[in-house]
Amino acid sequence: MALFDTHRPGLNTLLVLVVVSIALMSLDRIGTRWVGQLDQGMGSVTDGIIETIHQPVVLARSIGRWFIERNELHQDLDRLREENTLLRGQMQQFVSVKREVDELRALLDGEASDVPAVLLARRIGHPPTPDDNLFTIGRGFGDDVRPGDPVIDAHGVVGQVLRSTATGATIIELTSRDHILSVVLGDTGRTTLLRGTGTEQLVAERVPERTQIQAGDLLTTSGIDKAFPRGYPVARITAIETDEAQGFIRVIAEPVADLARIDYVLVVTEAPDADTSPASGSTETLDQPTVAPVQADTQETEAGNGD
Amino acid sequence: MATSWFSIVFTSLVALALVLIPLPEAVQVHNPQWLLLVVIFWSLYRPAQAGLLYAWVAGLMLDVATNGLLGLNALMFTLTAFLVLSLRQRLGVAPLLSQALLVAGFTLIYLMVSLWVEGVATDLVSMATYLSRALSNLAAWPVIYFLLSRIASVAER
Repeated sequence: MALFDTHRPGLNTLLVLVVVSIALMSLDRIGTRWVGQLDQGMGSVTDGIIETIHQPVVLARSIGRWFIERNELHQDLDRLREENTLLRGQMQQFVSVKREVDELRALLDGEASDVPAVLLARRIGHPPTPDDNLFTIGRGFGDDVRPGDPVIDAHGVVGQVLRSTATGATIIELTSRDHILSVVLGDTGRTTLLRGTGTEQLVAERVPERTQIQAGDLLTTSGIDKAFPRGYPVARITAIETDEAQGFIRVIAEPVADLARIDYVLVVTEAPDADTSPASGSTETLDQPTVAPVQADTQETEAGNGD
Repeated sequence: MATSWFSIVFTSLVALALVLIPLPEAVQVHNPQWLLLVVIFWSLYRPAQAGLLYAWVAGLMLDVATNGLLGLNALMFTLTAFLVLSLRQRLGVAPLLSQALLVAGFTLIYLMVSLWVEGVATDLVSMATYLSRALSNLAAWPVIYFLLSRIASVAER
């Protein structure tokens, strides 16, 4: 019977499959479009599985809601109401500042900033990777989530969309070793590249020594990389290492977003300066130092708004 | 003893779900490779239905689910299934404990080779150009075969 059949595996099949796998690996490494489509198509199935195994958690949470004390709920409601009033108050200020900034920007390059379109999404799982820097959200391609879209939380930048499928999307956190983004160093207007290290720290190498920064300064997105709109808070400087022989400093920062306890995130589906043509983009980069004081205002309001 | 395709596909999906369950980081590291174990089981006891192609597809699903390098787990699953299928007659009748030991041995080989492949893949960005030589060898072999067999038969005379 089945045990005594040899079922000797076909060497041809093995070789063909090995060659196909290796070809797939190299094409994936290069980033071919149809491999991306394959990834996206099969990802719809696996993200669906992640969504399904998340359902018990949703169920448990909704059952747990039955057992919350009534006055506890009222306390929460009062707290949220206060917070809402506070935020609305700050928002009024923000609107007037925004109008001012728009006027100034109109004088500079004839282009007003728009408030970005954001999408609230819930984190539903994380794939089992060795360095725990990916997670999956419940919104996907149908909700206009595209690979490369910035992801933020209430405090600052969380990361980017890595892959978007029909049933969900995978987010790469900015602390991942594969992630890098362009930031403005504090109020200096100087930009640098901030690299993830796989730990809780972010590192910017080779910053010129005479840059006027110190521990505690906020790093915000510069917008030069076209991946993130400018002005979002990214990280706070924790340490500065000087290398006297080189004339450069090494800035170590930690993200302002609460990466350890992510439950809900916001996906910026339509960046405010997304539809700038390459030509106006380059003038923007050139204008960077002149715009810096205005931009500092935007940062403060953004930070105030975020908190 | 034809197990239906449905049960094979269903158990594979359940195993994939078990792999993807969010766990605390400390536990996650030690979570068994459920999908690999399911693939080993089916290729051991239902080799007519679950062959190399099944193992390859299962590995590719794992690659997609974990956002890894596409094809890495597919390759490793295929090689493991090949190993299991070749040792099937010895492995199928072995007692449970020695089966478990052999599975652990397969996993060690699996982990070692996948670590190595991952290293090679990150170093060689231009792997496709490197691999094109395999295809040109494939095309060149008939030429060499006919040429050299002709020479060999001429030299014999």
